[in-house]
Amino acid sequence: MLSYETVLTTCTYCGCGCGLLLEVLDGEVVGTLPQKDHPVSQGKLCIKGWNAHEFIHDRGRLKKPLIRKDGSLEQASWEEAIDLVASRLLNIKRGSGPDSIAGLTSAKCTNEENYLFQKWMRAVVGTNNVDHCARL
Amino acid sequence: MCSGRISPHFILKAFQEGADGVLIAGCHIGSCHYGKGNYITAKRVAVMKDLLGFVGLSPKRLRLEWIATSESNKFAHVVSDFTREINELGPSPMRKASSKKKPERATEPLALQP
Amino acid sequence: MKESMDKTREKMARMLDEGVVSGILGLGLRHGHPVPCLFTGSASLKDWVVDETDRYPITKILIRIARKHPDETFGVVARGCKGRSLIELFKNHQLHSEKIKVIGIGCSQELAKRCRCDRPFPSEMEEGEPARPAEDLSDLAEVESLPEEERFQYWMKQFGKCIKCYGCRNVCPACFCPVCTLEDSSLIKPGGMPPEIPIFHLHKAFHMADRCIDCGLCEEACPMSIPVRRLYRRVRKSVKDLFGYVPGEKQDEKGPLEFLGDGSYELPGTGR
Repeated sequence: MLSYETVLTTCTYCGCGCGLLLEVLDGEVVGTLPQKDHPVSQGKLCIKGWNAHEFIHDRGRLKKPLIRKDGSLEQASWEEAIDLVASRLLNIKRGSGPDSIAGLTSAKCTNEENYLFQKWMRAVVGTNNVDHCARL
Repeated sequence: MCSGRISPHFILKAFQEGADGVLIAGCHIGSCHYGKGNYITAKRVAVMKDLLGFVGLSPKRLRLEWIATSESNKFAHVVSDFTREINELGPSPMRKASSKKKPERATEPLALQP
Repeated sequence: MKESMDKTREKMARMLDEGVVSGILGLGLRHGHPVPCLFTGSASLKDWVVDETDRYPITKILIRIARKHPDETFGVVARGCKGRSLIELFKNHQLHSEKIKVIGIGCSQELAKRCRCDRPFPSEMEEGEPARPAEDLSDLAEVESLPEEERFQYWMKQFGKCIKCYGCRNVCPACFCPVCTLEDSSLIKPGGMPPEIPIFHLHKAFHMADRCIDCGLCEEACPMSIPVRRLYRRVRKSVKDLFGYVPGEKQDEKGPLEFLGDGSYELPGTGR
C-alpha cells in the first residue's frame, strides 16, 4: 500500500529539542528531515538529529524480555523477568542497603516515565542514587 | 597510469597534507596512452584552480603540463620552474593552518532569524 | 502565495482521480505546519498548501519513493529550483522522466529576491505570472574583493565552525551518491571536529561544479551559518564561464565534468 507521510516530532537526543519530521514510507520509518518552521531549530539539525530515525527499526533492539541462563540470553516471559529483577534487587537492598543500588535512566524515555522511575527509586528502593544519560 | 585518473579529491588531499604545490604531468592532447583520459584532466584542473583561488590558495600552486614520455628535458625544465615558482610563493597557508592546534573559531554571535 | 491555486488544485485532483499518477508529492498542512506529504486521493488535496517560507528537498524525497515503487507514476509540485533539480536527477538516472509528472508553480518576487534566484519559475507553470530573475552575485564579489591571505583566513574561520552534521549534503537535491566522498576515511580523516578543513567543504564544492542548481537549501540547513552556497555558486559560475554549461537547463546536455569530451578545451598555459 503506497503511503508517504512526514510525522512532526521532537528529537530524542539532547535538551535542545529540535523539531524534526520522521519520514514514514509504507509504514516504515526511513529518514529524518528538519522541521523548517520550528522556532528553536529553524530547519537545522546536528548529526544525531539527522540520524534520529536509525534506532527505530534497528535489528539489535530488544523485542522480548531476555534472561541470562548458563551464560547465554534466553527468551522469557514478562512475569519471570520482573520477578527475577524484583527478588534480586530486594536481596541486594536487604544485604547491602538501599544506597548500593543506583538507577540510570534515558532521554529516550518520556518525561512521565522518567518521573515514575525516580519516584520508584526514591520511594520504593529508598535511595537518591538516580541519574540520567544527559548528565554523562 | 593516466592523468585522467587524478581525481580532484587527490589534489585537495595533497594540499591538506601540507603540499605547497601540486604538479600534474600528462600526455599531450591527442597522444593519451588510454585515448582520451587527458581531455577531462584539463577541465578538472581548470575548475579546481578557480576553486582554490576563491578560497585564498594561489591557483599557481596547481599546475598541469603535457609532457611526453620522451621529453626528459621538458620534464626537468618544468620541475625546476615549478619549484622556483613555489619557492617564491612560500609555504602553503594550509600548512600554517594545520600546524596550529585548533583553528580559530568564529566568535561573533550567530544571527537568529525572526 | 496570494493566488488561491484553485486551477492547479483541480488539475491535481483530476490527475489522481483519472489514475494518471498514483500520488502527488507536495506540501500539506499537518497540525498547522506545512510538511512534505504524498497525496494519494483527490479528497486529501484539501490539505495541500503552497508555502514560501519553508522549503523542503521534495525531489530528494521523491527518489526514495520512486525507487521503492518503480512501476508507479508520481506527480510532484515543483518550483523553478525543484524543476531544475528534476532535470539533473533525470540526467543522472536517479529518476525516470516518464514516471514523473511535474506540476509547475511559480515563486513570488519576494521569494525570488530572498533566494537570489536567476530563474524563479519552472519551465511550465499551471497558473500565475513568472517572477523576474533576481540573481545577485554580490556575495561572490564580496569575497573576491579580499586579498588572498585575508580570503583564506575568512574561509578557514567560516569552515572552523563546522560541526559535521552533513546537513548540507543531506538536503542537497544534487547529492545522491550511495557512497559519499565526505564519508570516505581515506579522503577525509574521520573523527575530527571540525573536520579536516578546508578540504571537507572543498570536496563537496567540486562535486557541485556541474550539478549545483543553486536552490540555497544547503545554507538554510547549516546550523553554523557557514556560507557554503557562496562556494558552490562560485564553482557553478566557473563552469558556466569556462564551458558555457548551466546545470538544470537542458535534459539532454551532460555536465562537462561527467564525460571525457573531445579535447577541444585547452587549459591556458599548457602548451602542446
